[in-house]
Amino acid sequence: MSKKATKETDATGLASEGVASEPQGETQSLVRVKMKKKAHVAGCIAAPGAVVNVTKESAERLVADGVAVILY
Amino acid sequence: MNLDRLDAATILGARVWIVTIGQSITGGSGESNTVSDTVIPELPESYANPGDWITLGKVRTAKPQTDYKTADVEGVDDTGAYKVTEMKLAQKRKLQFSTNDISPEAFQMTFGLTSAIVDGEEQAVFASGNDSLEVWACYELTDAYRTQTGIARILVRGVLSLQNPLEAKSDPAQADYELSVKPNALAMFVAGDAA
Repeated sequence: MSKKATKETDATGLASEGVASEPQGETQSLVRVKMKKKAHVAGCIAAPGAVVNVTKESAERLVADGVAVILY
Repeated sequence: MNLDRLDAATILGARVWIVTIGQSITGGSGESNTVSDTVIPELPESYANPGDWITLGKVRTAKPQTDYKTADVEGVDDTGAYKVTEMKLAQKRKLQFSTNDISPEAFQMTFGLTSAIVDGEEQAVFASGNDSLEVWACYELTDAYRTQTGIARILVRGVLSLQNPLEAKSDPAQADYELSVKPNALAMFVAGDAA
């Protein structure tokens, strides 16, 4: 899980700086796709026929472009 | 390609990175994938930032090696006389490179270890059946004499092995690697400076 520096305001209204874990709600849901064409996805170069995990947003874009199909 | 056709004086340098089949690749949004025949990490951005690729050391010499089969083709040509031409067929391609930097992979192959070396963990010695690693290799040629920039990159799938086991003697140790190339649709040659 990635860490990032944050600047938060506490109950007293004073700003405090620290390192916080990224909220769970921000974690992207992953989708498994099968490539129809060669493409650069998820930090990889994937050949036609490859099955790769990508974010939901990437999967929708790949399907719209005719580059991949969603497996599940 | 950064080569001037009129200037023949060129010294070629080489850099080699590898990833092993089965290695994990993590994308920018946390996607986890595995290196395979059809999935490879993005090529190294630069020597300083290779991403998921690892270097086996500073390359001392590197060259492609091809084994050919030749055959004579004989026939009567347009003049009515027999002519023989030679047919040359590339049968086996290899990429050979050597380095004085000794990597854990060189020890792994020298001593027949079946998995990657981890400090403090024991494993059976001389247990591997073929002393080789299934890898993808990124081979970059540089203009070492003039600009030190990249000339071309060659991405190949292959089986990496040592031409000779590591030798202990009173000279710098040298690892002579040999990559036997396997045909793959993702393999490519890209001219230009990628760094």
